[in-house]
Amino acid sequence: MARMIRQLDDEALEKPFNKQQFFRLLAYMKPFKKQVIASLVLMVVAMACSLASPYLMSRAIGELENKALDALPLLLGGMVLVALIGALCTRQRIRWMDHAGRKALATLREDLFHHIQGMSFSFFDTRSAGKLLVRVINDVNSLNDLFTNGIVNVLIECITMVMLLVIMLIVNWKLTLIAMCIIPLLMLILFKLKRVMRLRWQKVRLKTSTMNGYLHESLTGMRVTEAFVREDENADTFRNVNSDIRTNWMKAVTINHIFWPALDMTGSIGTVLVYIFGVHFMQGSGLALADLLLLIWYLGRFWEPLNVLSNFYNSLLSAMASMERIFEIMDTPSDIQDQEGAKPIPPIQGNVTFDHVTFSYDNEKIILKDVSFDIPAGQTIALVGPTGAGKSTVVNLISRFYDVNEGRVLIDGHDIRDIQLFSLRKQMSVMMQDSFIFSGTLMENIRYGRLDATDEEVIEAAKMVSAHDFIMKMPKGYQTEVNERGSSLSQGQRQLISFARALLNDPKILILDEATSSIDTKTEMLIQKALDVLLKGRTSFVIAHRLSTIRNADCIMVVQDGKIAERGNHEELIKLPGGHYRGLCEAQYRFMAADEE
Amino acid sequence: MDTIKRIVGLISPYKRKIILGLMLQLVVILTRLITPYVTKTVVNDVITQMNMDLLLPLCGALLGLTLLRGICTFIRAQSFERISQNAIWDLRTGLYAHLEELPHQFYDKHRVGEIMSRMTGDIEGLRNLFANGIVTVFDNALLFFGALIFMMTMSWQVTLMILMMTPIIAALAWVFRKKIRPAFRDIREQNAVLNTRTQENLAGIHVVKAFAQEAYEEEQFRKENQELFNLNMKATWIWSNFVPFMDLLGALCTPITLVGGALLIANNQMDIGTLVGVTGYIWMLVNPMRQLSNIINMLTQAVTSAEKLFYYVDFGAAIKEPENAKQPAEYQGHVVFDHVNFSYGDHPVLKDICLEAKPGETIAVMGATGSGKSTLVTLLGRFYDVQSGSIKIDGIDVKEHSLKPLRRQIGYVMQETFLFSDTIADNIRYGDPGADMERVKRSAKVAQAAEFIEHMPGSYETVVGERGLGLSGGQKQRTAIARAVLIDPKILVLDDSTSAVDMETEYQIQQELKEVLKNRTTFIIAHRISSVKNADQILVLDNGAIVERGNHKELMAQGGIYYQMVMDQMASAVKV
Repeated sequence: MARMIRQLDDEALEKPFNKQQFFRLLAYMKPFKKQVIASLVLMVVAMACSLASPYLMSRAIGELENKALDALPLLLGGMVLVALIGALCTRQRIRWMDHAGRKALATLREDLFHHIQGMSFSFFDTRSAGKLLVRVINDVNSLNDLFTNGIVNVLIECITMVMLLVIMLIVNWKLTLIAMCIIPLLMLILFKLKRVMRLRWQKVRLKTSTMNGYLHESLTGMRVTEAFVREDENADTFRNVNSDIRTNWMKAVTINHIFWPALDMTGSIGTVLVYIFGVHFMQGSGLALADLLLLIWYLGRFWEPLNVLSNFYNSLLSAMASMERIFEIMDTPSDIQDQEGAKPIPPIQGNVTFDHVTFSYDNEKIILKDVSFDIPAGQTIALVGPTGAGKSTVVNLISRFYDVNEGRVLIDGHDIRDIQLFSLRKQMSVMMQDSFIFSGTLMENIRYGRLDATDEEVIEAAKMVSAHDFIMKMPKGYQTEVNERGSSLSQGQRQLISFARALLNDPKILILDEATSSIDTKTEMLIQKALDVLLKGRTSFVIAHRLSTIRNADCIMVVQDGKIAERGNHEELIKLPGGHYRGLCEAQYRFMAADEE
Repeated sequence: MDTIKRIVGLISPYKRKIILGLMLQLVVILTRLITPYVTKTVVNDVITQMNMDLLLPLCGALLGLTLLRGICTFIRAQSFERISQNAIWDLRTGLYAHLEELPHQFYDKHRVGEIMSRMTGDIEGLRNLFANGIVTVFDNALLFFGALIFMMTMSWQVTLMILMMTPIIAALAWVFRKKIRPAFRDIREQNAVLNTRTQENLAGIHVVKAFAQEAYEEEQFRKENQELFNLNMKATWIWSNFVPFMDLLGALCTPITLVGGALLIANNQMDIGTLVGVTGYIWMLVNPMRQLSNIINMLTQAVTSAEKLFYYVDFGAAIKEPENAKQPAEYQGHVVFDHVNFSYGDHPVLKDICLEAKPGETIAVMGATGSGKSTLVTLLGRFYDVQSGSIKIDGIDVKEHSLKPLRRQIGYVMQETFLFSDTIADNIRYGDPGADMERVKRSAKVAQAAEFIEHMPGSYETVVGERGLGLSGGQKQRTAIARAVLIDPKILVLDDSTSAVDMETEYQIQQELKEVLKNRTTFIIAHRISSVKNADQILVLDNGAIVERGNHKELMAQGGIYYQMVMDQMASAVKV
């Protein structure tokens, strides 16, 4: 049985043109209006210069035909001059346009990032980090071409086409019209073939990214593959994926290979037409050789504007897809925002009240139902209960990562929806099960809790949570570089770092989702010691897995079926017959006690 | 030199096709060289001298030449493309199969991202070389010299004048390459920085929000984004300083031709048609000069890429199927470590390990992080070779064992659980893709995974892994246990396999596993005493050496490290 290959990306690669979004994007260019207009002017000049060159050349040949050399120096000088002016104009134009386009993109990217930073958890719950990353990096990048070259080029090429046509008509309108016969053929080749080409290359890209995805995953899981002896099946799959790419690649590239000869052929037909009819006209109505040559040279330049137009059309469609994805995010409002006139909360004492709180993540499945409690400042609350019962929800509501559906959450009597979010979170620390370590030094990682902390304060915090010793044993102490997932640190060490980070923040309310992971006994002891330090003197909510934490809590709340099913301290709860907590303790006791069996 | 030989080796099966393709290209070049001659004749004989009989044949010749050129170009391009695609297919699938054979040392040393860029970017370099590079080199060289000869026959004086320009253009193109390359490299690197920065922000968004550090994050992002902008502008600056002027030099060749032509025509040494014809060759001389640095660049890059790829090819499978591989008549699960020493580089990991696990026994391994526990169990499946001593499974040294049958007897649940982006059912039957749903469900049940799986939106058909539904650490571990149980191994290795499940679930898993562990030799690595206390033997590792061994009772009586661990854990956990 061949393992299914799942397609990496089911996103639309292109979208139909959407005027509104296009202009919205264009608005990012507004601050550079002057530069853009100036660039346009320069481009017109450069274009005129490049058109002037064949014109001057044809005149020179006309002069030479009559053996008249007088005008030659002038014509030569003209040619050199227009070439020079053209180069200088192009140079400046590249600089201005690139500057404007890239600056606009940088702004767009910053806006997008800013918007994402303001989103609430429910936003991140439904979108993977990978997809968001693609928005910020790849989607913005893919607009680059449109900004720096696309739009301006199209304008210029349109002007060029008109200019060419006008000059040609003036030189000889009859011959021009005959030569124009090839234009429909040219357009057919450009637009039709390019479309097919685009679609086929898209398929190649899709297949390639499937291959990359498969490769990435099988490299990451290679140890599993080797352990479970799946090498042969996987190699087969990989061969199939690659054959698929090869087939599609050949299909796509065939069109490319037809494209250029077809273009070449069309050009030759045009030239031949001009020769045949031109010679005919020369006999009759005295067409000059110079004019004939000029028409042939200009005709050869016609395909370039058409080419640019068809490229632009193609890139516009794929840019539209990126554009839509970017604006989709920017148009999603954050569901947690400061209310108008929200005031910062005064220094928090730490009283936390749930007043008939009801909450659901998706407005369907109710997680918390009419929950009320009142916690005085400075207490430690242990939350226990089965997985998925709503323990995490309780703490998420306190830090206002989500808003309640009904009821209120009060801190020191303030409804947390009426105060500034920033001022609230600044006085809280939340620690997740998975202690996230940023890449950087250990010093920086701890300092993340309070950016203006001095080195001494950081070290002090590390000492308080017993992280100092192991940090000092690292090769560079506090300056040791750790990476993203903190893989050079053990899980217990990562926890201690995140404890230090929280302690440095000196929060009035502390929220801790205790990690379930078993940790070697030595580190485990350190963590328990650190917890004592950490929890002292602040209101703390702990989703607890350690019996020691639970036992030391001032109050244990058993969250079950969306309610606080049991409440009290250890002594009280253990006495409840048939209670969840009692059951829990019995199970753990049975499990832990070693020699009884 | 060696590398170039090996690159040639990759396409040597297609030697005849390549030669044929180059012959076709020769025809293409000739048609291009002849075309300006036709133009010259049209101007001189037809237009100037009004020799109308020649007009139609010449026009026909022009069209015929174009058609011939088109057909030859098409066939040549298709054939080179096919050659390159085939060569790349061979290379990539061959490398993949090779990567699957490589020992763990390779993956310890090389990160996935790095291997990925070899398998994509570097292979792309070679593809480009095969599909376009060979022809481009051939084409430019022949075109340049061909145009030179044709032009010389028309007018050697004008040709010499143009030739004086070409070195200048080539030099300019060379300097440009030199300057723009580091600029582009900086941009690539900064793009990677911005990428990592953003990815980390998104992955750690919970921490960002928990500490209300959004403003700080935005400032950091802005800085990197601004830096990217600056680097881009730097490249634009270089670009704008060179490219328009290289075009300018090319364009100046036309007035130069005109000067020469005018002088010659004035002295009746040249006719108009020749002048027009000569202008048709100008770009054929100029273009190869502009391309020269590109071509050299492409060639050197292809060689560098190939060197990196060949390094992988040469990273021999240190662990190979032995000659005369042996296999026991029937696997029992009898494991013996006999004075095993293993070091990683010059860092000793395991020292003089001796142990015997009889069929069906459970061996628990304890010790601090880094004491060598995981290494010890990876040696069972011969993912590394030991430096001295031997490991025997059912009486046969693993080095003499047929590799794949050996590994099929060992069910690994690794410390870091990895699931593939596939349905949960296919993940569980990863070791035996032919297994039916009945077996999948049974394994899931043993691993306490059945319940949560059945609660998932698509039940067993739910796609999990990186690109699917995210599972919690505990759920992943349970799925991994099910995966190991499914292959019905004689030896089961549980490397810290319940670290992320809570105690209640762990208790349940252990109850269920009791049945499964019967008749299997089991190695358990764990920190919790509860997980190991029922083992037949408990080994305590410290710094790679076994410092204590025995069953729970014996070790408790010894009062050593194990005793201390038990006391610590009891003290912190149970005082009910």
